[in-house]
Amino acid sequence: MAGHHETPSDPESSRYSDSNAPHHAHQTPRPLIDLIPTDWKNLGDHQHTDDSDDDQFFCAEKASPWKDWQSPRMARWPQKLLVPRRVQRHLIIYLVILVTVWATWKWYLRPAWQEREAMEKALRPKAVNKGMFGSNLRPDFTDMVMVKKMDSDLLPGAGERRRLIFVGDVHGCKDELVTLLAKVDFQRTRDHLILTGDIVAKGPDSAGVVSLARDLGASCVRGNHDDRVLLSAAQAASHSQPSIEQEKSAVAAALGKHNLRWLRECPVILNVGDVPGMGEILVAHAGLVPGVPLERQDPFETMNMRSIDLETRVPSEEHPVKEKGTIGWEMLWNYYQKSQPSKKRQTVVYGHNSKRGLNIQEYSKGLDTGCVKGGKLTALVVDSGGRQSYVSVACKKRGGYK
Amino acid sequence: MLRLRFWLLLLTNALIAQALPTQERRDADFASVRTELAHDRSGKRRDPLDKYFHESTFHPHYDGRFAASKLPEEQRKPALTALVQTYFSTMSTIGAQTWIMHGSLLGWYWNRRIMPWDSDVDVQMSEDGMRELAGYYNMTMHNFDFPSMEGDRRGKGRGDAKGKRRSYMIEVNPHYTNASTADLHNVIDARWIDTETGLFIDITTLRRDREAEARGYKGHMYSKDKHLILEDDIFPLRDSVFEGMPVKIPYAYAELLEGEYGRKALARSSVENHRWDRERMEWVKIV
Repeated sequence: MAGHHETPSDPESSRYSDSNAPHHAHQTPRPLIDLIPTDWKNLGDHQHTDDSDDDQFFCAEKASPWKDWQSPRMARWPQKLLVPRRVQRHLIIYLVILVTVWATWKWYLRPAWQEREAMEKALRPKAVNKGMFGSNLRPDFTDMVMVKKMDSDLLPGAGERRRLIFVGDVHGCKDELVTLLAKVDFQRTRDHLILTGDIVAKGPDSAGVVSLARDLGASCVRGNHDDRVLLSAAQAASHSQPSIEQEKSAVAAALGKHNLRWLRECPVILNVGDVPGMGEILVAHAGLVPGVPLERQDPFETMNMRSIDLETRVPSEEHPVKEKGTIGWEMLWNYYQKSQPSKKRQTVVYGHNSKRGLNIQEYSKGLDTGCVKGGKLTALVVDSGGRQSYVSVACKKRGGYK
Repeated sequence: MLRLRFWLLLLTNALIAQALPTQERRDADFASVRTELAHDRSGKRRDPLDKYFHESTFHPHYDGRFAASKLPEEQRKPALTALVQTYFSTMSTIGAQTWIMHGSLLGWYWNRRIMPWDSDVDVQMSEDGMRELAGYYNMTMHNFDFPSMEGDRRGKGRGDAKGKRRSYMIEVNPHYTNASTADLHNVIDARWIDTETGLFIDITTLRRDREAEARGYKGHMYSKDKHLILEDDIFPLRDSVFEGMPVKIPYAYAELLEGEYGRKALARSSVENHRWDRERMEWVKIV
């Protein structure tokens, strides 16, 4: 049907080209009516012969008359409506505008409005009294540090050239981490590395990554995979039963005592502290529930959540499903932060959600770009002025390690 | 002649065989385990023949061989607490891998205690652990000395001035080797029974679903009471505390609870005529 559109169908342009033709210089009086080209009358037939597939042409034209609404034959039919031409033309424009407005409302504005309304409702104090996530005595486990405050000496102070480098889900991809650090021009004396969890497992060199992080004096949080590896290691050490989780046990064995000890000290939540221009920064592997103090956040959820229930604020590792009344936890987090006085607002740097990929919002920075699956390894660089930039390197192995 | 001798031999053999004592599978019935009671309150008579464990005639969470009535509520709580403490202490000594589940896990989630309206404790055990119990610990008694306990029925009796001695019994259901969930009357694989109060802990084995594994579903597990569970949600186990005792908690405790009781169970402020007191961190009865 491509030829169909290319054919000159505008009678006006034909007329102008006629009037510029040289034989008109003689100014022979000719009735104006003759100047009107009549080529278009043959247009239909002409095209018909051009088209190699007659049947298809015929069917297609019949099926969608709007395809060539500009062509005179098609343009003629609205005349039967006895509406002035200008109005006819505008009618279509109006229709298009109307449909656009309706579609915007239906698929964009209304859901956004409804979501806002639901979030507003979820954060009302009345809802909290009805029962809210985080009222329980927070689960506590042996060998697990819940919240740690980062040494404030490591923070970039105003006027200094220090930087914080956050890196998401390394998963034992040591080569990529080394390349990424070189790319951001990492210098030990100036920069501080913070790993957002899932440092080990899946990838080729978990021990190498932890050793490097230890050498660099990096900060870290515990991710769900780190958690499994640590638990498997504890289970193997207690001689109770051979662990069923063989893969994680193998990682634990490869890490060795010193690396495991370092990993065990990684808290579930790291409170980085105040960065000028950005406010308080928190690091958690998967996410945090807004409105619940750090010391009451649930450790499993903090390492695993993806969505949050609007009614009860109970998070879940499932991806958000609108029909179930859940949305991405970071949506509610950002909405909540904006409702707070600007001094109290907190920004979370996290990983965990490689399916969603890089997810940068005002008060949440999702950094998992799925390096181990063949994606990228991403760093968030924050300088002393609170300026943020994102640097990433591609996975060395095409298709990933897993 | 030869023929007669053959028949004679056959006859003597048969007589000898009958005279020898045979091992017969039977219940640990009232007569064989009774402590103080004069009458059996187990529901044995009304239960189906192939059912091994019999709940009492007065309440499904009591063993009628050891108790004639329910404990008053103020005595039930300390008795359950002692049941949990002695169970986990014993299993830790034996080395059987066990962890809390279901209602007890929910109680742990809220304040690491049994919920005040709960009259039972739910635990699961690994297949290896159950084999260990059945092979070496079936029908064994385990004695614990308590300084003093409110849950004591008799008030006086065994024990000295310092405190009371209580005996707990491990009883394994011989049907535990039958892995089929169609064995409806024997979904409980073993019990930890307080022979003083008749209260007990139901122990179910978490079994590998070999049928599902054959179909390619790795890590699918189940217990005979028809709970389908993923291996990844249970293992590796976590170390925590329940009723003051070190216990094991399933890895994905929050997902398990959400799946079994719904999201509201992790957030509600009142349930079962109790409200959650955020200051005291406990369930308080609404009066």
